[in-house]
Amino acid sequence: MNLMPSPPERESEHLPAVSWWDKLSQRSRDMILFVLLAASAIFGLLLLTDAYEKNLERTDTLTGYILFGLIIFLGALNSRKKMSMIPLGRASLWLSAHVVFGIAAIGLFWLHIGTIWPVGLYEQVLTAIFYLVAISGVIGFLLYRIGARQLTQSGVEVIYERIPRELYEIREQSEKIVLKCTEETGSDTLAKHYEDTLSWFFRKPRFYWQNIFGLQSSAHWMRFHAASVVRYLDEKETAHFDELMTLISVKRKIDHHYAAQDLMKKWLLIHLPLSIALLVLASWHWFLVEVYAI
Amino acid sequence: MILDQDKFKQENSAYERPNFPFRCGRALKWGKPCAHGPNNDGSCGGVTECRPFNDNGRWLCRKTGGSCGDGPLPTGECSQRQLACQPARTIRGIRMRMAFTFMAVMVAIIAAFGFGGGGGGDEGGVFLSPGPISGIHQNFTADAGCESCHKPHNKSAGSVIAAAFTKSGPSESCTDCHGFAGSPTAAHNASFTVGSSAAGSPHLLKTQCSMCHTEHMGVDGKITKMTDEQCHACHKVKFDSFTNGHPAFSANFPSRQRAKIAFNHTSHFEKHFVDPRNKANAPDERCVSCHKVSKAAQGVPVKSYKQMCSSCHDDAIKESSMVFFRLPEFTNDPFAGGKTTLSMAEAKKEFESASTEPLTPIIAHLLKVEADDPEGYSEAAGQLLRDMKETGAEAFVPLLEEAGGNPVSMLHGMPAELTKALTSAWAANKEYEPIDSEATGGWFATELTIGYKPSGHGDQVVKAWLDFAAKHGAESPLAELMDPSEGPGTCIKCHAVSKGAKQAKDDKALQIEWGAVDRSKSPFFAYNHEPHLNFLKVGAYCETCHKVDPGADISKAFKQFDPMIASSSFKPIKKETCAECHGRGAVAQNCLECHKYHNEPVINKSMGPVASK
Repeated sequence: MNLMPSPPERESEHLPAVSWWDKLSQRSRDMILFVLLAASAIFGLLLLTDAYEKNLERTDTLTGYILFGLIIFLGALNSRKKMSMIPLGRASLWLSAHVVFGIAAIGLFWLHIGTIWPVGLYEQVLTAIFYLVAISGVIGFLLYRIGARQLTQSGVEVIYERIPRELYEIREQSEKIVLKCTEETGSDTLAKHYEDTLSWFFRKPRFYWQNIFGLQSSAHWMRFHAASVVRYLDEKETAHFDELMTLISVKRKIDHHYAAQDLMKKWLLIHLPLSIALLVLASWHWFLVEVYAI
Repeated sequence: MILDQDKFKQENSAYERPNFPFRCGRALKWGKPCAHGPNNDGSCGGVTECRPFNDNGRWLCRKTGGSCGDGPLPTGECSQRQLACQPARTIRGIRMRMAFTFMAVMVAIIAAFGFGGGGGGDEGGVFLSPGPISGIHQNFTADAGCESCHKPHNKSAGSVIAAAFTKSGPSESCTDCHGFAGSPTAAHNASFTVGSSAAGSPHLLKTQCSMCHTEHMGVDGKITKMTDEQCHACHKVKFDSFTNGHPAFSANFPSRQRAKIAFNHTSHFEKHFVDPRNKANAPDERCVSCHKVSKAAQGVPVKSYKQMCSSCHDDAIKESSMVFFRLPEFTNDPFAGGKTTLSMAEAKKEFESASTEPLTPIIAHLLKVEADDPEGYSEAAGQLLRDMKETGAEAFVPLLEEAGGNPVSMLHGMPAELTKALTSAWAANKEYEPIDSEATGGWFATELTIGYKPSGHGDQVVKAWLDFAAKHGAESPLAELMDPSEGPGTCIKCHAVSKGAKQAKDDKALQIEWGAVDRSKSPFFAYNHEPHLNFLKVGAYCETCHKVDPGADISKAFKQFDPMIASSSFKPIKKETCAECHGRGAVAQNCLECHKYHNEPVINKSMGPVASK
């Protein structure tokens, strides 16, 4: 008989266990499911094409139709965005499917043409546009993954279309602080400094590429110009300068938002028109094949 | 501002519409955007701060956030005016415009080049062609272009659209130039019976060229490339490679049938060539002494009889004379004409036949009488003698024609004087006194016979007589002519006598294989000796694969008439022999190394423009 007292149970053991699956974000879970689905589909397709080849059937017809359907499905993401009134599933779910099946389409494309680069001129144009769409898609995906995370971490939220108004208001506010400082202290040190340096910064979004590449140029700029003037300010001026620094900090975050959102929006200027061109060329390719080759 | 907690309140925050095609020009320059924003046509919507409302003849200010102090002008216009900005397209608007532009450009390019325009020379429209066709086909499409293989579908737009929903591929055009021994759409262009290795395959009766061949792969495109997997699509016995799973070779491989010449390699190598008496004539280099290795392909052809055999066999051939006609025994004078006068009856009593021999089997067969029955043949044979006396060799012509022979070749060179002189002597009941005509060969006469002596190998008269005998079958009295032990039958010592594969069972006719040693080739077997000879050093290693069988007896196969019964002086070649090289990684072992798909492929004469040039 065990007379030893049992060790006290820790409180945490009573908490329900959280699986690794539950720890994942909804987007990650969607991505994993779609990756599994796409991998299964490609594996199944490989088996099917193998069976087709063994049965002397044309695999390019099979893969071509599937690829054409997949391209239309990928293009449907744009339509889904415009038809938000129809319950077609979450937009993030569509985006995850778009990313996963878009990458799968590259493999399917190679399976379809049987090479990296075809010999016909039309096919070469079609292939070049497909690659451009694929590359721009991958770049866009990376932009979204990196850019969106950085924006979340910035601590502020701002709608892209409102950025001009926000900048205008920050600029107006900063000018008010400088004027107030001059009126209250009778010193124009801060006003001159503003006129010489800070007005340039507040005029429009700055450090565009540095923000895109995640460089700290704006922070260095801010520190440098703060250090260059703060030694000449008295206690009252310093209080106003601190308010100004708060606005500069906000402006830096908005600049970052502007650069990231602008790039994420302008990236589509390449991806979407190329996708439309791809659809047109692929449709004509399908028609020619049906008329002359099958 | 962004830091305000109430910034999204209705009065503090404008409602942004990113789906609008234009955005404010002031915002573009990072100034304060107006509350109205641009109009849908792209003009500035913020020239005035509001659009006054007419309330019973009085204009009221409708400015957002409260009335301005000045109010509307008497004309109804807003008093708060400012300079118009220059709105610009939103990113979405630009994107839409670019998408439509790209689409329009693509449609324009397709319209310009996609219907055969834009040159492209041999290939027709550069945008129609999926790639250059193979070099081997390029010349044949030079004039007609795409239409050499593809249907143009150019009657109307409807015909093009209809073609998209019907089978309109170019497979059928291939047979305009390419022909095969069998149906072009049957598997292997051949007829397979149920139970064959490919029976049950859906493609047994209906295949398409495009199942295996793909064009437009470039000038150097390999359009005849075929994988082992494609073979396994139909073949029941599936295996990984030649060394792993390929069925063993047949028991007598590669002898699928008896040769046309009964040449016994074993006896020649081990007996005749080593006999000191033949030393002068025996070849020194074994295989290559007789086989033309420079012309090696699927088979290695042999040299001519004159080069290989004549030095030993010519004498025997020249001595193998044929007795065609022999004066038989008569009970009465055959030249008396059969008249029944008293004087003739007396003469009969006094007649004594110069010959006591029977008729030759040839003449007995021609006269349709028994060779050893003088009573039976005397009338017909007597008539023949009388005809011979009058017309010479012409007397045999109707008999040979009636029996299905060819008198022109069978009696070729028989001098009329010979038969006339001979029958004149016999008419006088005397023996003919022959002149020495046997020395040079040809027709000759002895005291009681007419015969033929061959001038050498390939004598056409002897061949004609042997063909005539063979046509009557092995049970005919004429078969004696084919007896290898004597006379013209000497030819049959080497030349096989066969019954045709397609002959009816009750058809007893035979045929003599006058050709060389080539066996019939399988249309689906593509073995080539040439690379093997080059690899193994010419002449030195034929016996690496072809090992002489000391105990081989090929004679049995030549004593019967079925050419499909295999016989060889060599031991069968086993799969393992080939696998010694073809099992190593460096040497290919795919199906097409040894097999062919098509059944006797040929290029049709009606190949089109190039052929007609």
